[in-house]
Amino acid sequence: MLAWTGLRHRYDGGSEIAYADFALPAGRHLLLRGASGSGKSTLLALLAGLLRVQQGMLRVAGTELQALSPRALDAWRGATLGVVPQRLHLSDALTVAENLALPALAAGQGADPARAAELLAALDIADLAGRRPHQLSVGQAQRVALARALMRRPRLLLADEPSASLDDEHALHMLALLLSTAEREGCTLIVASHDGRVIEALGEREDVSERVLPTRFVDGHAGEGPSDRTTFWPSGVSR
Amino acid sequence: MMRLAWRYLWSSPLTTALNLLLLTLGLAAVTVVLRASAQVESGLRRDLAGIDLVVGAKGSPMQIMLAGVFHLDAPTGNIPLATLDLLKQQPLVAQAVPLSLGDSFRGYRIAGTTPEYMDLYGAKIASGAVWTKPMQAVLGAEVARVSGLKVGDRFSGSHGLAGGGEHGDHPFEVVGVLAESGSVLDRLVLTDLASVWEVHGDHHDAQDAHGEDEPKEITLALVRYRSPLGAAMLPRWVNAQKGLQSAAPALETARLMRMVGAGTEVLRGFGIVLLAAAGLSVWVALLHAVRARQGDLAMLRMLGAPARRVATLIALEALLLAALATVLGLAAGHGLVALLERLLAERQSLRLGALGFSEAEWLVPLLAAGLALLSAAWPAWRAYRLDVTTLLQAPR
Repeated sequence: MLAWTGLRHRYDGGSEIAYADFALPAGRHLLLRGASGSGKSTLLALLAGLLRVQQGMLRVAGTELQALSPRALDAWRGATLGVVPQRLHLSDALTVAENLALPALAAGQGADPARAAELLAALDIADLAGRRPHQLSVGQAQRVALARALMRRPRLLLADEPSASLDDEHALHMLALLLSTAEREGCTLIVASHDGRVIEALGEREDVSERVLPTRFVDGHAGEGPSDRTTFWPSGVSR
Repeated sequence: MMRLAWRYLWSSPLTTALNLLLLTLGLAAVTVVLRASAQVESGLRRDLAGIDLVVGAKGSPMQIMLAGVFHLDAPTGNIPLATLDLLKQQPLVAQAVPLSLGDSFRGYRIAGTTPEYMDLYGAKIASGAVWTKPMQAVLGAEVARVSGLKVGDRFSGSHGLAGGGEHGDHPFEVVGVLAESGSVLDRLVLTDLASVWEVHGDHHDAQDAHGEDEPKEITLALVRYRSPLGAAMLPRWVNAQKGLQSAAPALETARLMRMVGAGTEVLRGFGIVLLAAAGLSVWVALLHAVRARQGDLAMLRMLGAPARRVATLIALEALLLAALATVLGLAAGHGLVALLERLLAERQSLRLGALGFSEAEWLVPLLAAGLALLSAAWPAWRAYRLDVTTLLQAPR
C-alpha cells in the first residue's frame, strides 16, 4: 500500500533530509511519529503529492509518485487521498453540505449529495448539513472534515495530529472514529502524531504499524532540522 | 465553481457592496457619456437632414445654424425673398428651401415654409394632410401630443419665439399632424410661407400704420448642394452678397461640439477616476480575500484542484462583481439619461433617448470585464502560487 526507497528531499536552503526505506503491508494502518525537525511535515507533503519526489522512489496506493506530472499529482491526490488536517479549514462561507461538495468541485465534477448524506448519517451528523462551520462544536467540525476527506472514496486517509487541542476523552473518541471509519470505508489510515495518548492507543493495536522518524540530516547537523516555513494562519476564518 | 465564487464574493458583504457601488457609479458615468454623446450625435445628424448650407442675414454663423437647423436660437434677421430665387439660380445649388420664423405656439416655433421642408426629413403625415393655403398648419408630433390639438382644431400663435402678444385675429387651422420622427420637426408648427406674411403684414400695419407694400422677406434659406464643389464655392459667394451670411451646419456643429465637449470630458474623466478607484478597491479586496481564505484555497488544492482552477475562482469573483456592476451601471446610466431627457424636454432643447442601446455601450461590459481581470490578475497569481504544504504544518 505504501513504500519508499532511497527517498531524499533537498530544501531551498540547501539542507537535505533522507528517509530510511520503508514498506507498509496492505491491510495495516500507519502511525507516523517524529519530533520537530524530523521531516514529518515534509514526508506528509511528499505522501500527499504536494511536494515532488526529487530523489528515490515513493509508491502510494500502487502509484509511483515520482513519475507523475504536477497536474497528474493533483488529480491523483483528489482521487486517492483523503486528508484531515490539524486545522480543519472548513469554509465558513459555505454550509456543511456545500463544504462536502468541494472535493467534487476541486476535481471539476458535479456534487454527489447522496454520498454526502450517506457520510453525514454514518458519522451521526445528518442534522448538521445546513449549518455553517462556526455553528459547530469542535467534535462536530472534525466529523465534517472527516466526511469531506471521505467524499471521493479515497484509498488512503491521512490524519495530521487529529488529537491536537482535544481533551483525553475527545482525543480517544476521535481516534476510534478514524479507525472505525477507515475500516468501514476500506481505506488505509495514516495518523501523524506525537501525542502520547494517540501513540499509546494505537500501539496497542495489532493492525497498526509504527514509523518513528529520527532527527537526522545528511549534512550532519544532528538534532537540528529545517524549521517549518513561516505560515500565515488566518484566525477565525476556518477551523 | 460559479456558485462557490458567488458565495465567497458575498462572504464579506460590506466590502463587496462598497466595491459594487464604486464600480456601478463609474460604469454609470461612462454609460451616460457614451449614451449622451451617441444620442446627441445621431440627433444632430438627424436634424441636419442633408442641409449643406444655411443662408441668413449678416451675423453669427453659429446663431444662423442654431436658429435654422435646430431651432434653438433667435435668427440674425430677415433676408429678401428674392435671395431664394437668386440661390436657386446658382448651378451648384440642388435645392433651396425657405424658412420664415418669428412666431410661436406654447413655446413651439411656427415655421413658414414649403412642403419641401418636410421632404428634407422624410416626414410622414400621421393624420390629415399638408397645407394647401395660408393659415393652415401641420403640427409636429410632440406639439400635437402636448397641446392636444387635432385636425380641424384652431389655434392662435404668439408673437416672438418666447411667447409675446397673441395674434388672436389670425387663427391657424390644423390640417395635419406629422408622425413622430425623432427630429426637430416633432417640435415645430409648419405652415405656408404666406401665413407668416399674412400675420405679420397685418401685425405691422396695426403697430406702425405704415401701410406700404414692403418687399417680402424670409428668415433663412436651407440649401443642398448639387455637388461637393458647392462647399468650396457657395459659402464664399453668399458671404460676398450684401446682407447675407452663410453657415455650414457640419462645420458649425463640429465647432459647437468642441465648445460643449469640455463638459463631456469632465464627466468622462470623472467616470474614469471612479473606475480606477473601483479597480483599486477590488484589487485590495481580492488580495485581502486571498490572504484571509488562504486556508480554504489551500484546502481546495489539497482536495485535488489544479492551481489554475483556484486562480480561476478568484478571477470569477471579480468577473461576477463586474457583471453585476455592469447591469446596475447600465440601468443607472439609462436612468440618468432619462432624467436628463425629461429636463431637456421641459426646455424644448436637444433630445436624448433613454431606451434601447447604442453601439458604443458594448464598451461598458468590456470595460468592466477588463477592469475585473486586471484587478484580479495579481490576487489570482497569488492564489495560483499558494504553498499548500502549509496545511500540513502545525498552526502557529
